[in-house]
Amino acid sequence: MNQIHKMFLIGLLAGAIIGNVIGIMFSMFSGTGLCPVSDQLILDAGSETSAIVVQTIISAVLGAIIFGTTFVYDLEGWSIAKSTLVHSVITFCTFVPSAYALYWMDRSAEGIALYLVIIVAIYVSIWLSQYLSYKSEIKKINDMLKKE
Amino acid sequence: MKVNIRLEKGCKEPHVEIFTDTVTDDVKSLADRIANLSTSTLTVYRDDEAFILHQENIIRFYTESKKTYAETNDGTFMVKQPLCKIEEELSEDLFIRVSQSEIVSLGNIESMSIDIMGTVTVRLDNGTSSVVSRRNVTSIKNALEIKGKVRHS
Repeated sequence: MNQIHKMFLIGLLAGAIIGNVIGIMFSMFSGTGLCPVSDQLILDAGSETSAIVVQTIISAVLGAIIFGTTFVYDLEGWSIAKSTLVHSVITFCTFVPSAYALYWMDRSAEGIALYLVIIVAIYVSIWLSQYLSYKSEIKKINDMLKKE
Repeated sequence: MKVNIRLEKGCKEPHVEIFTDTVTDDVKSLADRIANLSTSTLTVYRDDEAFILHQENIIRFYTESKKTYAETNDGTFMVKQPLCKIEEELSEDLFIRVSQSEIVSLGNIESMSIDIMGTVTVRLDNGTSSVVSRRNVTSIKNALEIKGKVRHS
């Protein structure tokens, strides 16, 4: 099994778990009692069990795509900025439709904009942390080279 | 001592046989010297002429248009082996892989840098700059650390 398949399977499992944790968090904040799925999704799916199954499947697929495409960070010749931009677009294009379908967001332009801001903020911090981490490693290398 | 060179089609890696009726110390020493020579030198080509280069004289190996080259201060030579085969023969103390298409001499690394986009490059003392795969940054640091420790011990 190669690294991409491994990440895909890890993502499938992590997505299923995280998806339901997100559902529980949303229910806690909305004050509707502890339930892993939204009331609207239960209405759409017909029952709470069906809603949980739908949410688990969608979030597992979402996790598999997001984790499985992390290989873009290892592509030869791709800068941190390019890898981060491509992965953020993949995340946005998969997360927003999933969040929309599972009622994790307001079904409005504002709801989409809010997710856009959150995703941009997350990926800017990923880019910055990676950039600073490599910069620090390269500084150590240059210090070693100066000593020689 | 009689020395013969026999050309054989398909014999990609040269091999040496010593014919003798007794394994003396001299024969053993000769065998050792040949074995060490074959790992520290490399046969390279330029204008249909073959040259033997010592690993210490090579600044970098790189692949371009599916061909492998060795760069030295005396110019660039073609190498018949692919980069992965060369890597097996090179001394780990002298060379480090920086990307899928390039191996550089540790002793010729002048500096490294990262630009705002996050592209890492290595600058060699002959003025050449090459892009480094980020996954190789840690191994470059470790190799330089080991080299530094060996030098100072």
